[in-house]
Order: sequence, then structure tokens, then C-alpha cells
Amino acid sequence: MTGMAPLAPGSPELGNERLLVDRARAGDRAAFEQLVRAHQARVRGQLRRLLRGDTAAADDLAQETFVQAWCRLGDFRGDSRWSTWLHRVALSRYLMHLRQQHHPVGTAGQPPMADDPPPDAAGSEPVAPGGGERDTMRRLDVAKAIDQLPPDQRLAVIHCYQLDLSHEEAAEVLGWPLGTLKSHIARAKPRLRESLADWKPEETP
Amino acid sequence: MTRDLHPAAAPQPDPQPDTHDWLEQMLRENLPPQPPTPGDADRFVRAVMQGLPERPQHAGRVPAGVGAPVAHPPLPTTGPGGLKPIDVRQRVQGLRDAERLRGRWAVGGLALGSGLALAVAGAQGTASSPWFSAAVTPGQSALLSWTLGCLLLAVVLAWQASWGDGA
Repeated sequence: MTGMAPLAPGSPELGNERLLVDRARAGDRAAFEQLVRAHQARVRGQLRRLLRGDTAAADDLAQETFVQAWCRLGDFRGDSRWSTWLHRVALSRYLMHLRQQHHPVGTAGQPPMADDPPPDAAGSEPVAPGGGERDTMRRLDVAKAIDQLPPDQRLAVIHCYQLDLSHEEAAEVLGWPLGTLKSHIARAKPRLRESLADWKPEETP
Repeated sequence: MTRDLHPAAAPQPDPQPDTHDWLEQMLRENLPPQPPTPGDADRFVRAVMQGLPERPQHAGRVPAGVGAPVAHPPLPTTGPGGLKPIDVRQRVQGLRDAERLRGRWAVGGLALGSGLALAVAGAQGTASSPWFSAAVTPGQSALLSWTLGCLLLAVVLAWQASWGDGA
């Protein structure tokens, strides 16, 4: 298993995750390795989205995220899923990276221009099977539309839709009140509808 | 950063995602990329594990039963209200150390003073001592005093530096 789908509360996988976290907290490196293997795809994906497809920088930050998670396992209280906590650590690393680069929050790199290559064109994002050119174009347009949002709305959309977190989990990762997150989503949607209007499917009578 | 209104003042939409919304569907289809090969994931995991420090710094809260501190039995005491043996030994050792330190400072200070006096006298060329009687000239006497003073200083400094090693 290279990726990790969201776990339902009470599921055996979630119980297993808690067990692994407890063992890692006691210093078990093998348990932590299993956690890294299970969550690396999502954390790297989160940072790649936040860094607009800068794969090398995203992987560097992802590595720092896991090292920091290992060092701060004692801070994890178990109130939320470990993956949520991990996304929060990753976001914290990303924001620190922005401060070091003197970028305003959420503006790492330049917004992609129309002729820019796809965010993950370096070969890290395979085209979906059976997707074809039209799907690729649509994915690029979606990524570009998200990147053109104001920073807070962009963060909200990435965490709610691209990382498939619930509103509650996204609010926890971002450290915002739930209402603030919903407001940002509500503001982002009309902009995205406008940007992606060409991709709106035909109404069926 | 652009903000039109305070977000909390805006109306809140339905928290439940609308699965029939074409936009939401499109956004969800654009999920983050997965690593293309298992080898890539392996390399990443290996890099992370190699970069981990030896043990986590458990500065935060620890849940019950996991890594919790073990309660040790109380140490025996010499009597009601008395000091524990380990404390007595530590106190006696501390007193001895302090006494030894005072003695060393006294001897060291004396030697340091003598060395400095000899060095200064040698440098000024005024040293006249029965050690260097008629056989040496005043210039040689000054040079010898200066050398002797420096040697004494070096010995004292080396001796002081060795204190930290328990010498």
C-alpha cells in the first residue's frame, strides 16, 4: 500500500494506525517506517500541490515533515487521526519554507501561465489510464484555476478537495475555525466556476 | 493577501459536499499525484529513515501506558528524617572537593605570582639573584629570569588546565 485512503472511525486500519503510532512513540523505528510508507504519498501530494508542482522541493519538505513528526510524536494527543496531524505538520513546514523564501503565504513560485508545462510534467504524475489529451487539459486547467485563487481560498480548496479531507479535518489542518473554512470554500467556488466554465458538462434534459 | 470581508461574517454554505456539483466532482478528480513507481516510494522511505535522529525527543504529552515513567521504590534512609546514604556520600565528597580546590588555588596563586614577578623583573633587566652570581652578565641574568618565569607560568597554566580531567 503506497497511498492511504481516509480511514473510517473505528475501522481496523485506524486501530492499527494507532497501534503503530504508539509503538513509534515508544521508539520503534520499524513501526514509524510503516507509517511513513503508508502516508508518504498523501504528504508528498499535499506539498506538491502547495508548491505548485515543484517536486524536488516538495519531497525535501516531505522528508523534513516526517523527521519533525518523529521528533514530535509526543505532541500527538490522539484526538484526531494521525494523518490529519501529519498534514498539519507538513503545512507548518510549508509555511516556514515560505517565510524563509520571503514569499507571502500561499504564493510559493509564480502562478502558472497559459503556456506553462503541467505542474507535474516532470514525469511524476502519470496521465490517468484512458484519460487522453482532453483529461490532461482539464486537469491542467483545474490546477491553474486553483492556483489563481487568493491564498486562503487556495489553501481551503486544496485541502478540502484535492486532499479529500472533510471540512472538519481541513479546518484542523489549517488551524481555522470551521466557519472560516466554509466561507473560503464558498467564496472560491464562484471563481472556480467562472474559470472552469468551459468544462461544465452539458445539461441533460 | 486579499480579503473582501471577514470570512466569519460571510454566510456559511452547507457543510455536506454536493456530489452532483460538476465543479466539486472535477476538483475531486484532480487528486494529488501518486508516486509513479514503488521504487520511488522505497527511495523516499529509505531517505526519511536514514535522516531520523536516534530517538524521538518526547517533549510533549504521552498517553497512559505508552512510554510513561516507571515509578521507582523509595531509597532507604538512615533513620527517621535522616539523609539518604547517597546524599551523605555526596556531601562529604563535595566538601573534600572544595577543600582540594582551595589548596590548589593557593599554591597556584603563589606560583603564578612568583613566575610573574620573575618574568617582569627579567623583562626589565633588573633581576639580580644569588643564583646568577658573578658567572653571568646582567643581560644573561635577565634572560634567564624571564625564561624561568615563563616556564613557571606554563607549568601553572598546564596544571590548572588539567583540573577538569580530575588530575
